[in-house]
Amino acid sequence: VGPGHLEVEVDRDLVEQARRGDREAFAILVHQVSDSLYAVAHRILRDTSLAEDALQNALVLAWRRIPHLRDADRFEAWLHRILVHACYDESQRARHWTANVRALPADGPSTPDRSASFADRDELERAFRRLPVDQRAVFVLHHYVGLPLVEIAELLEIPAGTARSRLHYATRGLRTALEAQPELLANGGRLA
Amino acid sequence: MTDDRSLERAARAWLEEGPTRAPEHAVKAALLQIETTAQEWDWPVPHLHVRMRLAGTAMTGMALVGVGLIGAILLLQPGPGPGPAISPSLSPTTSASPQPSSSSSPSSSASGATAVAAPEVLTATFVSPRNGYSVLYPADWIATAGTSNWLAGSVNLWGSSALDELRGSTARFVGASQPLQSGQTADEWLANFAAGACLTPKENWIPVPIGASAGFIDANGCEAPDPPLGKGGPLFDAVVIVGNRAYSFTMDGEVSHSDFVSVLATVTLDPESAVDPSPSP
Repeated sequence: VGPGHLEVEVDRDLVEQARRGDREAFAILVHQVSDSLYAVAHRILRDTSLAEDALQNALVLAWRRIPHLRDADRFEAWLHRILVHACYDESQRARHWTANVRALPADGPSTPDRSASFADRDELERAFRRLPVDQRAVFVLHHYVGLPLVEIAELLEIPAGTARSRLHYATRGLRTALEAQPELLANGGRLA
Repeated sequence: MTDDRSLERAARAWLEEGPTRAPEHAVKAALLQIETTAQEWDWPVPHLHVRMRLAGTAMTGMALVGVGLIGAILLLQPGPGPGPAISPSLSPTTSASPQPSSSSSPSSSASGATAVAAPEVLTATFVSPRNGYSVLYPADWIATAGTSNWLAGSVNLWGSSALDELRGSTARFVGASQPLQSGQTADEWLANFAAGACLTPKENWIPVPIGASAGFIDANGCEAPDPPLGKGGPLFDAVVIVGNRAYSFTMDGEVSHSDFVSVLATVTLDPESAVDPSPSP
């Protein structure tokens, strides 16, 4: 995984038009970015319904606030900041439903059902869900989106040290949880 | 000790397995909601807010007469209460009947007039094609005329197509009007209007000149509801009845009482030019 999950080609003219209130231009932008946003939201929240809500809320909020956007070149980063905060909100809301923790929904690309790797993924899933959502966000932005910590800090408008510590604690949290599953790590990180 | 590199590799591989396409229904739902959602506007150049405040402060104690611009004159008189009271002292140049009758009717006394705000920023004129008024506004604001009528008994929320809307750098102004119902008096209309949310009790309304007519501020900086009903910040609302027609003007955003009063002073009411739906047969 490298940088690229955020690299959606967005037409700057569309951003400018949307800033001026052009709904059609914004709708085109939505179609250009929604896959990327949803992918990130789902990985942070680990729940299809929550990710859909976060996506929807983020897009609507982005529409409302896009006149505030100063630099069209910062559109994607700005949008992902809104998304991450929408994920925070959804995560908070989901805390009321902790009794309803579900397994990872099988709505992603179909993958071979390899029972040998299922336990590994399940363990990662449980460990990841136990992390605070702000740590999950940094972890996803770093390891899935491929952003360096400095950019994550800028995107989330937090100090670089905060981003670094969140990643550190997320990694430590996962490591602690997975030490009970040494076979995963002994596998060299491959999900068999 | 667990190898962090192995952990990261495992986590990255695991993260890659998730979905990569947004569900169509979620995108559609967002777009549908956006269709009915107004944008918030950023106000990078707070012309109105800053300049009006400066004008109001710097010119306290002075009196200017701006003869050429109807409504560019505003006399402010400090009131005895916590909020400013306004005593209109205008030389009406247009008919202003019937006046709203109230125990707190505007006084014609102008004694103690202390300030005049003649906002140079109000350089553009918006003429409502439907609601029978015009108002001055900063040229860099965006004007959107209402496209429907404010119907009797209905409440105009933000974004209503019945509202003329002027969006500025620090504030928003909306206006609408409607004819009094057959047999309805001005007092009856005002009493009905006073029942709305956010409005102060009618006995506490503040007299204010709206152009050359005498109206009332019925909401004097109340806390605006959150979007989408408003953009937050204080909300001001004023009403006036002229020529058997009721007008309502509202401002919110980074706006003060004096800002609102200044804009109201530039209003020219022309109920004859209002366009109303044809009466039902």
